Amino acid sequence: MRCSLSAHQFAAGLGAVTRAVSPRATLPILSNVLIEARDGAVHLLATNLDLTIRHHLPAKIDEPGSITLPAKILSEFVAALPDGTMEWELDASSQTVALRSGPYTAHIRGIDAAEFPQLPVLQGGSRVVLDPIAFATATEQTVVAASVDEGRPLYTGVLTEVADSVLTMVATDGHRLAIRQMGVPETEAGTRTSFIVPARALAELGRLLRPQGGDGAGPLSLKLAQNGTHITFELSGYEVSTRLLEGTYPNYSKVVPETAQTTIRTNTKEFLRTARVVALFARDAANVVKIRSEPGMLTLSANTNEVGDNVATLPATIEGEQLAIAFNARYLLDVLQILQTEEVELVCNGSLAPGLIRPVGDDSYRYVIMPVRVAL
Amino acid sequence: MTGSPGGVRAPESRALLHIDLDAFYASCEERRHPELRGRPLVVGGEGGSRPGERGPLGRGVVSAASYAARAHGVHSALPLAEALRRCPALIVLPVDMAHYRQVSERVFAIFHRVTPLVEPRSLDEAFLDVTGSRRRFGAAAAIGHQLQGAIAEECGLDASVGVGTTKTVTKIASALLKPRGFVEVPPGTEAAFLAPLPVEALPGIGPKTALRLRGMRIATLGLLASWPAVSLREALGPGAAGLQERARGVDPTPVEVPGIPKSLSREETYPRDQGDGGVLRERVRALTAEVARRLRERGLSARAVTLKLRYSDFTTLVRRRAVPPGDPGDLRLAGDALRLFEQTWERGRPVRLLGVGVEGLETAAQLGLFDAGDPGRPALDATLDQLRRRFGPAAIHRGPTVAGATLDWNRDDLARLRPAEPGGGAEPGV
Repeated sequence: MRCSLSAHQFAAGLGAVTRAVSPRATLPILSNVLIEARDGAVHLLATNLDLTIRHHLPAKIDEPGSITLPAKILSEFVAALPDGTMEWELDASSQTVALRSGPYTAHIRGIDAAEFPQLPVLQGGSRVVLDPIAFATATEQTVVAASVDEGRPLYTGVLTEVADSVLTMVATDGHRLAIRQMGVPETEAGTRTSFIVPARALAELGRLLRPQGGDGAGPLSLKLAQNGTHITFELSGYEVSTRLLEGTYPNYSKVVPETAQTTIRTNTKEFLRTARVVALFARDAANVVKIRSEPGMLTLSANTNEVGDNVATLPATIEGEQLAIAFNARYLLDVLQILQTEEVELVCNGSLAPGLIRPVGDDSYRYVIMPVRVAL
Repeated sequence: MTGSPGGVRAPESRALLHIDLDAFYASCEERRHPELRGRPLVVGGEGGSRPGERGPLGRGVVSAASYAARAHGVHSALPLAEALRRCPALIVLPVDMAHYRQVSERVFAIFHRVTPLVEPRSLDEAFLDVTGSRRRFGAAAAIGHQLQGAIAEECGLDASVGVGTTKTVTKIASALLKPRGFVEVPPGTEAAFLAPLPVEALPGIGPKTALRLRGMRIATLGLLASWPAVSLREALGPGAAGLQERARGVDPTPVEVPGIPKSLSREETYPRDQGDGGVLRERVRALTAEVARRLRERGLSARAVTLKLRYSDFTTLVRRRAVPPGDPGDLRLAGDALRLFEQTWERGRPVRLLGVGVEGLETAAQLGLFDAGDPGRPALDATLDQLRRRFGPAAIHRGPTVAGATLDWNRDDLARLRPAEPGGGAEPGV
């Protein structure tokens, strides 16, 4: 294997791909990145067997070939290089790669590419084309509600449903729930499918989509394997594949409030600031912020026995019954941080029923929080 | 006006309430037996804790007397035999602490509406610090009146209220005009309020100290307040300075909120040992519901459930099971308690005592969206809690526990007691 390519492009691509490398790899070779030179491009691949990220970038190939190199030292080396042409040469007998860029030369010992696990080749099932920026936003707004607790694997995923040109993403950790809908510009006729994507994979995908979208990158497409075990997201130069989570997702539509005993409307940024300040005093396990409606305003308060307490008011329009409710401050802050509309609505049905938060003027997003039971 | 108070007044005085329920145990009985209202009534006599079993009246003493009974010279700690001699028409009911506790919880829930700073002194007495509540609820006296009204209206009980700036003053004030008393001691008038009162009125001055003070011709708190400190210390010892301060109306002791309890439990001993698995399971459910209700009332959640079994030979077993953090819903806790019961109980072996408890208590319970598959369930539990608070634990049961209701002995106390009434003869029929 002998080739040359741009050091900067390689560093950027490697940075994205190595996010799939697990710091505690189950197989030593999974700490390595698979590098293949063929067909006028260098192909990079890293995987933890659940999540796989692929990238290819143009290169001048003098002699095709492949090798796996330790992700950590390779990334650190190329990230430190100035831009310029980087030349690769593999010594097959020692499985060592010589990397040259301007005045720098490094020799990195690798492992034979033949030892890298064979990943299943995705046999295309259905395919959906998505708007990358809209999908990145939808991902951001749902992933926030997913659980990181591996003890409840299903909750670490995002339910993704496609039906009638609408894509719905749902995430919950059992205490709060986010639902986001978006139109799908292009689906194969009659596509109707539903699967649970690990939130981790979507978060990585979101990272790739943001800068790409800014450059007016091509559309994103989502490809579901025929046997339903894997999904692949394709965007220019990159492929993110992940194993899907299996199980029956809880019936989420049942917990979205349909009635509104109290409807509160207020400025999103003000609400966020107030909640942030008050939450400084919510330090017990349940992180409780109490919300009380008063004519024309909300009172937010928090207290911790050894610390003290904190009360703040916030102008708000209140319709319906008086409200006193307590939420985990984290759940409230998480959603207020990612809403983009100027105003936000909080809909409640008493202090023990789920509360609904939605951006005013944007029906595509809903966020449900189960309250904390306290002596109000 | 007597001389100025000795202590330096804090820049902003506190607003405290002392609330004392009038003839509490007796009033609880009048409340559930309205036909007895206004008649001379005492609770007491029962020695054992086994419900439904009555000790001989001759041995018991009066635990609490209604005002009608007090008019006949009957008071607490009086032997029942003597009480019946003084008032032959006296109605004697057994002490039912479980019931009084329940009523008390309702009253304390009313206190907590205006302030979290509630210091319980007993089932029927508490200090409240409402300093910070005034902005929301009005002046301290107004809050006192609100609470007195709410207790009367919602619980059907009379209470006496003392309003003031220190615990000593409010406690004395509430006792001054019982029953249904209301005494406010405005800031700055504490010393003047206390001055004319007899020394015995000051909490902490018992009969012995009072006797010694009277020997020194100190009969009123005013005299005590102005007495030379040195001679007072000679007579009373090191505690003299504190007594004198309090007699001057100075008492900085804060209202102390008790910490989170470590555990809560409910247990019951059966009149006859119980070997029927069906009945025992229903009792596990009912006891759990009661424990879960108390947890919710305090806004607590538990990390473990315990089950206690005592067989007829007094072999006692306690088993524990961890529960995931979160909502202490009836059904979830009952499921865990029942599982413990099945693991512990030797099928068919008669049980003398059964108890259900919770441990590892935490202050707030994050409710789950999908708990028991029904987000409306916490609201259902709350509604059941309200009904039970209002009408007692037997008022409403989840389907499976109805059979257990036959074991509810509170309801028919009176009927059972009637024929057992000893020969006073003067007892008119109801």
